[in-house]
Amino acid sequence: MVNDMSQLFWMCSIAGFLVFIIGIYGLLVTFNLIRAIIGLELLTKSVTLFLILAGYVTGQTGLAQALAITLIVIEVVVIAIAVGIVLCVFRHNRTIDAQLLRNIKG
Amino acid sequence: MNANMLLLPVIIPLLAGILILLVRRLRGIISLLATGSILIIAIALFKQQLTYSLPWLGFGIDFNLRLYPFSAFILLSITALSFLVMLYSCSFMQGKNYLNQFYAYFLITIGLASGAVLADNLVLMLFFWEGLLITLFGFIAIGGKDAFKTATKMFIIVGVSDLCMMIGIGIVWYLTGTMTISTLNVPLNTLGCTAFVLMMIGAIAKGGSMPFHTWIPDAAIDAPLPFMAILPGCLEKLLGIYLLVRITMDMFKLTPGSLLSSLLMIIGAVTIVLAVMMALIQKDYKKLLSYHAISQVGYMILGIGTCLPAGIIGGLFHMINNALYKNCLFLTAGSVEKQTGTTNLNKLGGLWSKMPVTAVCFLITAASISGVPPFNGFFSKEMIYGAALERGTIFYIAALLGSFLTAASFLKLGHAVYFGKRNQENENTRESSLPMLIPMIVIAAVCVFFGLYNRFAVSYFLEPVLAGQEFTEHTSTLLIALTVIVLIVAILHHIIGAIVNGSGVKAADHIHHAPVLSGIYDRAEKRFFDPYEIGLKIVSIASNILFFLDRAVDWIYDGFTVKLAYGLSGAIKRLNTGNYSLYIIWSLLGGLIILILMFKGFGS
Amino acid sequence: MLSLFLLLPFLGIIALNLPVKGRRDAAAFLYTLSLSIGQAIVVLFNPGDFWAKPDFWGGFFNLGLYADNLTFVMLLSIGIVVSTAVCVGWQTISDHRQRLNFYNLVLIALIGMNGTVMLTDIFSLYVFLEVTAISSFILIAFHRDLNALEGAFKYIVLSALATVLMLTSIAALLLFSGGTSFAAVSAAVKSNSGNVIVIIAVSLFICGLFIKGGLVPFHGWLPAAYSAAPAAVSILLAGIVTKVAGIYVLIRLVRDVFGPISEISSVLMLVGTFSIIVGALAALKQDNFKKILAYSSISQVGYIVLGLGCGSPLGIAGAIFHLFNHSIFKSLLFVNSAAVEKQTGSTDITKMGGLGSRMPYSNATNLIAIFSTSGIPPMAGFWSKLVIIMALWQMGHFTYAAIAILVSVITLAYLLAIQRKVFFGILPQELKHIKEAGIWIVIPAVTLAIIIIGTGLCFPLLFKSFLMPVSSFFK
Repeated sequence: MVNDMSQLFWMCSIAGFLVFIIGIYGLLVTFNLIRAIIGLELLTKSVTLFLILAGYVTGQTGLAQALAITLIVIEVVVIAIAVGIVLCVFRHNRTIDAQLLRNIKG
Repeated sequence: MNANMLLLPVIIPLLAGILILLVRRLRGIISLLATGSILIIAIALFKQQLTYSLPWLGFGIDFNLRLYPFSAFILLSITALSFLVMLYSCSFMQGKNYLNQFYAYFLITIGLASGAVLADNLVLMLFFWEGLLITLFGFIAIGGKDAFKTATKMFIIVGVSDLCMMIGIGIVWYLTGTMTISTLNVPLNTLGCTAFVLMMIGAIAKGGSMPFHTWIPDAAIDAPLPFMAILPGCLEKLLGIYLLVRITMDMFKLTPGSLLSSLLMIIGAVTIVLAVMMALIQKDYKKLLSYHAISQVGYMILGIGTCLPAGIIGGLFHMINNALYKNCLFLTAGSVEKQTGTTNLNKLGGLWSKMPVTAVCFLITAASISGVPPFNGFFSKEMIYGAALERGTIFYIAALLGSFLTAASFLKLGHAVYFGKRNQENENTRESSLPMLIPMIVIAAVCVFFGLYNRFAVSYFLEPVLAGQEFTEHTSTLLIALTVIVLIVAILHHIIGAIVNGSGVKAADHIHHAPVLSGIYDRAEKRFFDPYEIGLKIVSIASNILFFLDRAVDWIYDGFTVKLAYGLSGAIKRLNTGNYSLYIIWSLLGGLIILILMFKGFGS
Repeated sequence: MLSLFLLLPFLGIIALNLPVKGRRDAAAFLYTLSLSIGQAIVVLFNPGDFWAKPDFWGGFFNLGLYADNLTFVMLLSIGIVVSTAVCVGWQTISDHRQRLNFYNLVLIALIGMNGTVMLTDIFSLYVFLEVTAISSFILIAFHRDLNALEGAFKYIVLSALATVLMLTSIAALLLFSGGTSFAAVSAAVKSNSGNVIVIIAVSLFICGLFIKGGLVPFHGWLPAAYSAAPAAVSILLAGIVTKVAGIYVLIRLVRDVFGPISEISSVLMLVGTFSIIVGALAALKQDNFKKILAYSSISQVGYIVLGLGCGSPLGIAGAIFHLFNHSIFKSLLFVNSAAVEKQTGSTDITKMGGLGSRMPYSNATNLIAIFSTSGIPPMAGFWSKLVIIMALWQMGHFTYAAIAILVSVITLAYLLAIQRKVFFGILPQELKHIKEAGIWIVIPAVTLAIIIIGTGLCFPLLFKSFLMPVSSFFK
């Protein structure tokens, strides 16, 4: 059981890290705003994974679940607002190119 | 007579001066009243010893005034002479400009001079002494547009010497811890000698000896004449020699034969000879008299520098004599100027018949200054000769040479102005008005009086100064004979010179054009030797260098740092491209660096 | 009774959005204004008993609210700045419906901020932080112009990054502690202070807070968001949201939870100094009024963090006082920029000049704010900077103190540049018709200026009674 637990733990943490890195990479590199939002989403999901893992390891599964659900709720609101902003950008210029958002320089 | 009356000679003229500045009328009457009243007070207070004391600023600087025989005597001279000159100038100055300021400066100067004489505290005396700088400046500057430069020159020369005096006073305080003059007794170690030299510079510069004299001939032309009469003529000498005697006798207690006394004697001798040589070639009445004023100070310094009682008494007697006859000489010059409109010797001549009273006064005082017996100048010079001979023959010879040249130049002057051919323009000159004549007559009479009754003068006025010291006459028939021989040689020289060169004015021209001397004279006329001019050149070079340095410092502040800041600002602006991915990368890099720092155990 | 601070805005939101006819925006304005002013006043006259009373619903909703002196300072600042933003919003936003939305969002932000300062649980702290952030996102993009959208998007992206960092850290800390309350986390950190994971967790959390607070090099969103937001929102953002979200949490954590770890102090001082320098330098060559003020914010927040990292109670006291002062004078500066923007229609300072004669109140209050920012006596900014520099000197950090003083000069430089270019100088032709801004902008400006001067003059009195108790609260 301990072996399973630790194996599960390590797999999940590596998976979490992978998701994290994919999320950051996506956010950094893409020129498409929707993909940037997806990147944000991935980041947050990886963090949720970390939270649950932490709860699992220390045995506070109840607390971890509560935290994870709260996090998902907040995340939904943020993503909704972000998508709304991207929608407004689209209404301005009929494109969702991230290079549009580089006006405020210097 | 209580001590509060000591304040009056200081305060009355000051208040009168300020009053004249505020109220434009009744100038003459106010000033005469003021000077007359302090004269009466000075007479009344004579022969008493009073002190008046008031705590003033802290640190031992108190408002101490002290009347003792020496200061009483000087105070009496100041007040008497200023009253006479004030009377003179009421008439002389009519029709000139800036009359208000003239009277105001005159009165304030007298007040300050009285204060300087009476002061018993070094800082208080310094306060009055420096105040004189301002009134002197104003006094010269009202003489006309060109007078401003001379006034500045005076200010700088006298100001620098006053600065030396201040430093000297500072050293004295450091050495003794007290500022009260009557209780000072400064030891003569190296620091004390430095203090002495510095204060001596202040005193003799005030008196107008070389090398601080260069402003006086300039002022002679630019400033109004009563200024020349009262200030370089008598007040400055009185104050300067007063201070010199006090520092030599009371404060530092110089001994005969010491290095410092030799220094004084050398300065005195050099001043005598050089100044009178310059006086010889002058073509202007006032300038000639001013060079003589410088030369006579040399006699006083020489006398005091001997540190023998005879010499000091001689110097003091010469001081009061000089005050009298120099004053009168300037007054005669003013009288001539007012009546003829010029002081150029080439244009004057033959005024004997037109201005007899002036001419007689001139004769008497010129004889006094040349040392002709039985006038007062003869007796004071004899005392100085005796003391100087005892200290060194070279000094005696220098003094005698000075006498010779003085006589020669006054013969020239008298011949040029009062005898000889009269100029066409001066046909209509008349004698000066009575207010101008009275002071001249009074002073000339006192000169005669002091000459005939010199014993009385010395014992009544001067001996109490040297309280307690023995005074013996050093004159001998040899000295008197030598003096008379020199005078006769001077007269002969003049007659020969006048015949050879044409007129009285040119009587001394052969000295002027003598081989070596003519070069020196030319350069002196061009102010080559003037320390003031040399100083100005050095100052302008120094200020150029400093200006250059200042520009460099300015560039660092204004140019360099501003450009640096703007450059950095531009760099930061360029880093900010507006791309949010870049911001994320910055954040992650920052986080990484912070992690590394946290792990290295950074900070303590 | 502390939950009233959270409850009243919440009830307000519900009430205002009922489908009732009439000028709901006026009602919203009055309600929000009175709520925020009430908050400020209530905090000033602080009946201690009142706050200690348990909430009227007993143990049912145990929110775990706690208020100490630091909280009161923050509540006071929040009240003042929100009331200012509300007044300016009334003047600058013209449409009724927009105004109603605006006040609703402000109320949400108010809930978020009040909650942040009063809670004693890390995760709840994070939740209310997000509530504030959400309302800020929408507020920035309020008028939906492209620049505002850009600013909002950048804020979202970086805020999400901050979220990720903070939550990772909470997850890591959860490995060691039994819960997320301050007490539990504090115990965990203190007992495991050498552990690699704990150190990583602490640093990540602090990095997240740096992003929220706008310190260099985590500041990328700040100039864009501050300058693109509408006038009233800039006031809100600059005055209080950044401070509460970033700096208050930092103070609370560093002081109470993580304890005085020396590496944190050094990191704080380094980042603080870096922010001071970069913020001031970048502000020198800007043309946009609000961007200059944004970089100035970065610089001043650097001062706060520098004082915080100093490691002595005096430093923390100075930091908290500077936080309060910064809210006030930065809000005042942004109010004036709102006035200028409303009257002239642009924020480009090269096109302005000589407005001082037409807008005397803005001119005078701007001058007061500038003096306070650069630290000129007797304004309040001088005292707080003095305390910070004194604390640095006492602890021996001479270079940092020297840099702080030197950059004050640069601060003065760019602020005076604003004053000169905007208010002094010659009035250009096209601006001849300018009048003073509306009364709802002038009144907050004057009030804030009076507060600055009052705090500055009364500082010696305030020091003993107000500041020292705030800072010396090491648990």
